[in-house]
Amino acid sequence: MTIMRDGKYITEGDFRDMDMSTIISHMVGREIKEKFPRVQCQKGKPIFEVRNLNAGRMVRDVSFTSYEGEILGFAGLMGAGRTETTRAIFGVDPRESGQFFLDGREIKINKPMDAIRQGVVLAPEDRKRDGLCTKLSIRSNIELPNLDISSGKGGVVNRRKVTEMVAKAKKEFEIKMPNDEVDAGSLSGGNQQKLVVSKWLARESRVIIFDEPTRGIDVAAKVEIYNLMNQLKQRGISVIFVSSEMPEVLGIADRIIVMCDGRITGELDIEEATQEKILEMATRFENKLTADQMPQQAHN
Amino acid sequence: MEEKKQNPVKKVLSARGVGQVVTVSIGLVILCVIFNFINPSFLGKRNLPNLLRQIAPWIIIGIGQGYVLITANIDLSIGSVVGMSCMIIATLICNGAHPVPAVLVALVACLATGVLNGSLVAYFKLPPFVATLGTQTICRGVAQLVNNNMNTDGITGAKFGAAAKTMTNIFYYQKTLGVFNTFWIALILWVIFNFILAYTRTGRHLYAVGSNTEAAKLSGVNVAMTIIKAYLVSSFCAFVLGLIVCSQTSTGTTNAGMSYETYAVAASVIGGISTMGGTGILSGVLVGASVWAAMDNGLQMIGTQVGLKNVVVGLIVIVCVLLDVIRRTGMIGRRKK
Repeated sequence: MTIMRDGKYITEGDFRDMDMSTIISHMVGREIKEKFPRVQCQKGKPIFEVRNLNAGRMVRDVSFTSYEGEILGFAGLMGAGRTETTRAIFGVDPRESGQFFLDGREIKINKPMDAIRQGVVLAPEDRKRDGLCTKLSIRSNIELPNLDISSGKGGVVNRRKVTEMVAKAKKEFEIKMPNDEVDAGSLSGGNQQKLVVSKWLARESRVIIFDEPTRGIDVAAKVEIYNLMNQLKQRGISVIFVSSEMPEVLGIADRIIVMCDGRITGELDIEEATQEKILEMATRFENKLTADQMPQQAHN
Repeated sequence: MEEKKQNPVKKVLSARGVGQVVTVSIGLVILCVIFNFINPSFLGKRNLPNLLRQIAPWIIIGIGQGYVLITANIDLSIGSVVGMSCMIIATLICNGAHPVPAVLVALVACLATGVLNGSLVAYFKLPPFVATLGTQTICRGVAQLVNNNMNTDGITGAKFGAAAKTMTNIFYYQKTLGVFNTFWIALILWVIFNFILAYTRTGRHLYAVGSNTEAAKLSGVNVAMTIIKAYLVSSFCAFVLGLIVCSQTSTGTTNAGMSYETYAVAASVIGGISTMGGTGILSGVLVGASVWAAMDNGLQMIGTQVGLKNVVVGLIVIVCVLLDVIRRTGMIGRRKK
């Protein structure tokens, strides 16, 4: 096996002689102490509550509450309706019903801008498709969702404010880049993902939803994302973490909601959660798929 | 990370879209020098004002097409909207209307076309090529219908002939500060729309939608509204050009503005506004329009046949797009896919 990093040859060795941690440390260039860093926080008051959310077949009567000082994990198999749930919350896809409460007050979300203004934001699943304007600069990408802050009444953009915002986002998260004018699409996967998240760090968000934030990025970048989620948690921001990778949900989340076939099928505190329990909940409806449900699913 | 101090000249050159504009500008200068060498009256006192006036139409519709191209769409209805605008104004004046309401009616009709184009593309998700091809035909049809498929009489002979005469002077024949008004109109439009594109929220939205519609939506951009705005700008520019064409000829001609949409695409594309969306700056339209008009005028000045002229101009468009593609694919090659 040959290990490369940053376009350079690092080392080579027989597959049998290397264990996971050696491989990782060569890949990253330093020792990764913890694969899943965990920070303990006091669970505080409820921040964000979703009540009876219905949006198409993939989001059926979803209700949950997220609390201060916790990372709320969403586990489930592919196609369990988690991404659809996040999109419905964020106002991207239309919903049939559902109420949202932020810090005890009901908020209306009908389009993404409503959610953004009120501090509920989404770092979407597929960064190339949904997360970034890859042809635009890093600066433009960070600027885009925050134009309501950086532009005045007439819509003229205040460049100084944007520069401040980009600096703030950059400080929170070390994105490796030559300068902030390079194409977002030229960044590595990990840095692109960091950029998707850092768009939301430039403003005061209350709830940040991470949809599969670690898919297809390297180990070091994954740990940075986990660390960031922990920091946000410590700051009292509600972190909602959707992931299909069971070990990382178990390693990072404080509470886990399991979805199957568009419905919430269980909720587990991290102390009681195991892979087996999650899997059992995640496949609850799998064997109950009746014949009349099948064409419907194919349609979706 | 430490920021390296950049040479200010270098910084400007490395800014988005400037590269192509600089390259084409150099080409333009060389072109002008060659034409002037062959025929020294090319940049002479008599031809220069004409040349500037010939640039104006391509700047005006180049702006409109540029806006639409930046959102990764295309507007093929521009030429017909020019014709519709021209015919509505001329027909109304010839039937005894004052030029002011006549122009306003044309404006409303053109803006309605813009909304229609934008809505078809944004809400009904029609491919922009097909949607605007449809409106292209419709608008040409309207241009023919308003005066029973005939060109109008001279507008200066109508009831408000004097006012019409003033209109033709203001929009085509008069000069301000030694330059024809038509060029100033184009320049003013360019300044306004360049400001909107480069310095306002709407401008940022246009680029975002053109780069990645889904990401723009998830960043809180109202995608449909942004696309409609782009088509509105396009139709508005076409309306202005219709007014200018009407002033130039003092009549309404049913085939006014025929195939102008392709010229608008050429002006934008030569100036580096990619048809793929999300890239390019409006300065490119100035340069692109200049190249277009300089070729048109210059080849005529040195006595080239019309057919040959078209061949050369067409080749230049292809070369410009090719250069753009080569540059882009060069970049893609270095990038991880």
